Amino acid sequence: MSVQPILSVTELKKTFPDGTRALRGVSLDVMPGEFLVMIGSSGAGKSTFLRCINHLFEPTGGRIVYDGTDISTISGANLRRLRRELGMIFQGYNLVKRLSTIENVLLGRLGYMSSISGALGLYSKQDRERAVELLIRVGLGEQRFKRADQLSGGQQQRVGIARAIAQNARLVLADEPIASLDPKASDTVMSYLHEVTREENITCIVNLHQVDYAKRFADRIIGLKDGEITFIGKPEEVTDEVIRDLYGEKGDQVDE
Amino acid sequence: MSEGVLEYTRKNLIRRRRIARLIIFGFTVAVLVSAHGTGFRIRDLYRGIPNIIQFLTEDLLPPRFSVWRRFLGPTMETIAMSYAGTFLSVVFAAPLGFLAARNVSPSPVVMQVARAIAVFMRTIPPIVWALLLVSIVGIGPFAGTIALGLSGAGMLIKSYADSIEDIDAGQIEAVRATGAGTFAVMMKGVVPQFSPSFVSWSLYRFDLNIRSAAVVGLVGAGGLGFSLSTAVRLFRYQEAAVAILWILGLILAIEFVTAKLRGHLI
Ligand SMILES: Nc1ncnc2c1ncn2[C@@H]1O[C@H](COP(=O)(O)OP(=O)(O)OP(=O)(O)O)[C@@H](O)[C@H]1O
Ligand SMILES: [Mg+2]
Repeated sequence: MSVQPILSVTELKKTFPDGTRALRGVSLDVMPGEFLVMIGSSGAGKSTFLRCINHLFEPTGGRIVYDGTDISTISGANLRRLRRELGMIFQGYNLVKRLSTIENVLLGRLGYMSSISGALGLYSKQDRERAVELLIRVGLGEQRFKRADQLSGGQQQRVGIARAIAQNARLVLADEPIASLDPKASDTVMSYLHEVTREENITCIVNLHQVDYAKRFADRIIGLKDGEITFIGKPEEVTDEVIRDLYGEKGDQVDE
Repeated sequence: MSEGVLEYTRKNLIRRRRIARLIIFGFTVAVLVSAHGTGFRIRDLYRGIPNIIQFLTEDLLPPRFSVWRRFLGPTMETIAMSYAGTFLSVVFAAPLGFLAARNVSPSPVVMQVARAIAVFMRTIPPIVWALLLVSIVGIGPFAGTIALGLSGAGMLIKSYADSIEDIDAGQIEAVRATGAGTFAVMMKGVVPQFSPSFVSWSLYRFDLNIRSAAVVGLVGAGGLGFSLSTAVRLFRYQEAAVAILWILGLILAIEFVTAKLRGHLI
């Protein structure tokens, strides 16, 4: 009995209208529960890859199968249903700044509500209780009535994690979640992300610039270069040579 | 080398002077032509000074303060007109503002149509709307209210749309990525970001309406403006002076109030 991949990407291509070929045929199977880290220099196509999966960008070629369903050209209500199972975490946190911390977590429930009741913010009692629990879990229970923009960067990203978990996401796509954070906050955020997704058995694809964090947390590491996967392997297989190949001779993109 | 620079900059300087002279000449000609066209004579203005002084000191002043009560009603009417006009504009402009904003509009065609409506309503000044409406619905504050509402809506659609275009796309994207429906994305991703400018623009429009209300009143669309024009038409200039004072006071008072409100709401 073999386990089906939760996400299976075949020959994924994305060419932007201006002619930029950001993805040139990426194939990748992601197994349930995996914590996958994607590394690669700036412009390699890491963000584009994640954004094609939840259709914030439309792929221009290839196949994406999620949980046995082809989602390459999904749209409308089906896309909404897909998106609620895919949590997204952004480099810039992207919390709705003028809403409270707790409501930002509750936004994760919008995919399960009618558009009207979502618009009116009619969250159920269970949802509210769960949101509080999640905030406590990422160490922000006391902060829940603060406006989101009053939190520090690291705290905001922890709210971002709580929002994704509130979605009951089965797959979390994290696009450089710690790129704007200092080392201490980076540690905290990565630890929470790793811990919470392990406990909930949520599959995770994380884009990172920092190779050391990749090695520390990843089950598998994917190396992306110029829109193509040039490396797939275990953290211990990431040699200096692999890094040099991904980031160029100088290795100037590596924040060790 | 330095010779070259000197020569180059000298020529440049001469060229700039020549252009400046040309512009000044053009302006002078334009002023003379338009003065001729409008029958403007410095001499007439000069000779008119005694008349002006006489008008100010004998006809207009002192204001007949004893009639101040008479303008209480029209003042209330002006405020009500402005308020109702603003309300109309806001209700009309809020949805169209969303449709006219590039980043949230459902389609480029819808966006262009919404923008065209805004331009059309904005280019027609309130007084022209008022003139038209007075002949349709008759003299009174109703015509004034609609006139203010229509011209205000044009401005608000554009201001709202521009403000919406300035908001952070990342926050909208994050809400969309949760699987939220379009209306929920608008209310939870766009509206919280947009609300300070929404309040600000709407209050500003109320400010402007108080001024415009006086103007549209002149053509019979109610309020203080109508009282003013009636007084002038009956040659009751000292009463007109009181109306003018009322208008000034009202504008200042409303500006004070909206400034306070803005401070509290944003
Ligand atoms: N909306 C867009 N329109 C045109 N080109 C784009 C767009 N978004 C990204 N690109 C291009 O696609 C390529 C891949 O970009 P992408 O953002 O995926 O890289 P990345 O690996 O995430 O880089 P970084 O580490 O800097 O975030 C780049 O050449 C980029 O300029
Ligand atoms: Mg990126």
